[in-house]
Amino acid sequence: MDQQVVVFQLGGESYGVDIAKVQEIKAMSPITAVPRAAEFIEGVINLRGQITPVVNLRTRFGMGKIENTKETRIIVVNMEGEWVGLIVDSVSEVMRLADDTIEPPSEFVATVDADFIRGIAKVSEERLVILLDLARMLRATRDLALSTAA
Amino acid sequence: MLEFDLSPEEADLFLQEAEELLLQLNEGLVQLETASGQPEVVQSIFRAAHTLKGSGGVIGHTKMAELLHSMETLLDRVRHGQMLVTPELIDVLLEGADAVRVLVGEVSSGQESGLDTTPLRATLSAFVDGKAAEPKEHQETWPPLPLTPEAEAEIALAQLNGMRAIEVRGRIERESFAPGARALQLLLALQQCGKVLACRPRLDELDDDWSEHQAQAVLLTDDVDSLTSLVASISELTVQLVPLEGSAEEVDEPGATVPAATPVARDAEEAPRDQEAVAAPAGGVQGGNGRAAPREATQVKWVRTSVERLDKLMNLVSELVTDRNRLMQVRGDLLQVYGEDEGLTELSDALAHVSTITDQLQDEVMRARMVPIEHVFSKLPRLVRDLARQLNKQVELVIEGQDTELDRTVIEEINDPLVHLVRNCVDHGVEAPEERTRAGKPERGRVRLSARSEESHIVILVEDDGAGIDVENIRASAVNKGVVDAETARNMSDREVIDLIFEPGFSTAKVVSGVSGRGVGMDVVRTNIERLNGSVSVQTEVGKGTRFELKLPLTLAIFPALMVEVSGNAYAIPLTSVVEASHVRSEDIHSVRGRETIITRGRVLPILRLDEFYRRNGHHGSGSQYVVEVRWVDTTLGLGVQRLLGRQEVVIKPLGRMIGEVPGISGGTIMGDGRVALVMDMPSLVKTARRERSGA
Repeated sequence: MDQQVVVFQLGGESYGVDIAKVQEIKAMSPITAVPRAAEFIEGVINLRGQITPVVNLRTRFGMGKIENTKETRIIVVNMEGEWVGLIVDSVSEVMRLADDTIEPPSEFVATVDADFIRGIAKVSEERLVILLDLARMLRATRDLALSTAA
Repeated sequence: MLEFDLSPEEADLFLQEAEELLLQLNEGLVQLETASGQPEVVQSIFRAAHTLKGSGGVIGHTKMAELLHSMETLLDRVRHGQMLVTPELIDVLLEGADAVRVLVGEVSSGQESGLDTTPLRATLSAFVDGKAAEPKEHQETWPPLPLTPEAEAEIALAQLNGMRAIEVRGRIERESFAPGARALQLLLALQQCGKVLACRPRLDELDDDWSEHQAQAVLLTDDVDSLTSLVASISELTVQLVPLEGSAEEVDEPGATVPAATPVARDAEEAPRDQEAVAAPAGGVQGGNGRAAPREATQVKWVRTSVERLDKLMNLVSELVTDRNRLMQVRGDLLQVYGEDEGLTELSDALAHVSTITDQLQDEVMRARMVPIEHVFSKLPRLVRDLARQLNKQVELVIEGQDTELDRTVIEEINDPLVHLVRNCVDHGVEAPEERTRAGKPERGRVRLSARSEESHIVILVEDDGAGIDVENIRASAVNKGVVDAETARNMSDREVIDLIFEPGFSTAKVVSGVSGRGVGMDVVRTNIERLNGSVSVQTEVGKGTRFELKLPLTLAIFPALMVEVSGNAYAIPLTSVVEASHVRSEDIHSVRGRETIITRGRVLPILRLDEFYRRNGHHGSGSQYVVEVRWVDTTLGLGVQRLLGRQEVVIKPLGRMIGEVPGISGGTIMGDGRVALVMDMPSLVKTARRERSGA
């Protein structure tokens, strides 16, 4: 069975998340910093009246911060019924992947912890999309956020 | 899985009704114990049990119907005066009420509770069989007095003239050696206060041989006060007054009270609602009296609506408030760009109107969500009664201000803290009767529970006239338990020491009793109250008693706040804790023992620079140009901020689970420009700041 993923760029790598989990994709907007929160918590934004926390995925995965560009996006995803924004370098496309192109996470080394990867899609000879296990990644991120807040 | 004969909607209705009837049952029983034989009380209990039995039967809950049938049989005996009200009888009936609650629970959960009602029903019938015959001599019935047609007409006429027809029921003590003399005294007293239309016995029947113990009369009077004081002065006699409206059958009409010293309420409206509900003897309590007074007379049409609907309405209003703020901001921006323009003026007018309407709407919806605190208070008489019996103490519970209204969300949250405080008063506050006698106090202790509103908050007091808190005990105990070290404890003022009872890990009970020691301590009380943006404080005097004062906001959802800027971000400070805000120059700030302070109105105010407190890794402060003086319980603090942004109605929203709890922040709010401001949390800010200071 085919699946559709939203593909985004982070530190030169392509990642894909299940489109069903994506609420919307926003351009960068002013973010209210939350004091004493974990470093990768960028702050909160107002998303149609709902206060939504925003995580900087670069900081989260230790990739080092860069200045925001025109391409910087916030992908709003659903975490157990609540919205969470994820800051990524850019969003490139929505892609339909055939199941036979997806391989289990092998010894392949991505910057993101192997625990959060549910597979690697080989789109072409030179292009790989790392499929994120969003639920797992968010849960771990939340636990980390709650334990590192000062 | 249990199956009952009702649809989900019917189940809701059933549960709602059952809850009300159970409350009525519980309250009635506790009241019955202190005002035994009062026919309206028995009647209302009986009716509640009867109705519950009926609804249980209708949905096919046989177990429930059977149990209530047993209770009803017993209550019927009581109703007909064939059974004496004793604490044991009340115990078994209350136990029955508890069991019914469990059975009602089966309907909501659909799960078998496994409750076996057989032993309870056996006890109930034992009461009926075993003891029904015994108190024959105490049998007391009050058949209506026959009235002549002339008397009836006279009543009707007199009522038009503002007089009242009252049935007077006098009980003469069994030990009285001259009951006839007491009855005569009563009838003579009645003649002084008005016109006696009928009486039993008649005056000519009274002689030295008259040996009954009941005297009854129908009286027309316009002076109930002198009536009550006059009959109260007759010894060996207690009198009950029952308003007679039209016919003598309507005995379950309002107002009748015992003992004689209590004035009869002039009408249902005036009934004990505003009065103190003072409890009566027997180691038990009475309370929530306002409840007992029927309110049928109030000509208000009520509509039942679900709590969810009200919550939804409140959410919509909150959104509206946010959007209103937003529109006002946009208007301001437009004004700056275009100046006074005709179209803009019109927009401004319309906006001003929308704004007023929004305020009113918010007010109304908030009001609709308010419920009298009675909902919480009404459970307490039963609690105190049970506790007092269990601990062999005598405790009277006085309830005042049960009509005070609070937001439903606040009501839900204060239940546990209140229960804990009241438990605490009965368990640790009020002494055992012997001890009280030795101390020269009345045997019966008194716990007073009162509520009143005060500007934008509600004050609840829980007081007892017990032993008070011994400061030295607390000091020693706190050191023993490692709450503070000996050195610190020695240097603490008495006030600070008493405040230690709110620290986690502190409990003064010498023995952990099943009563107070349930793993919940005073620290939980304080945490719960503070989570509501409220505060709790304690005052105590050894030998005299202890008083807890709770201060709570009227509502949680929307409140006024002072908006400030710190390090480029906006923060909302709840206006309830703001004393004043002022501009400061750097030369105004002094250093006292390494802490920054300013002098304001002749007092030294410590400064907490918010940019430093809310520092982020690698972010630097932006300085403090203004100081906002805030007060939290006993602590006054100056918050250093960069800019003041004005006052705003704030709708608080959670920051999300990803962020969790942030010290000094209780949530976020959306500002007029659509950005998010963080809402400051005074208790946690003060506490964290204090901790970090002493740690540093």
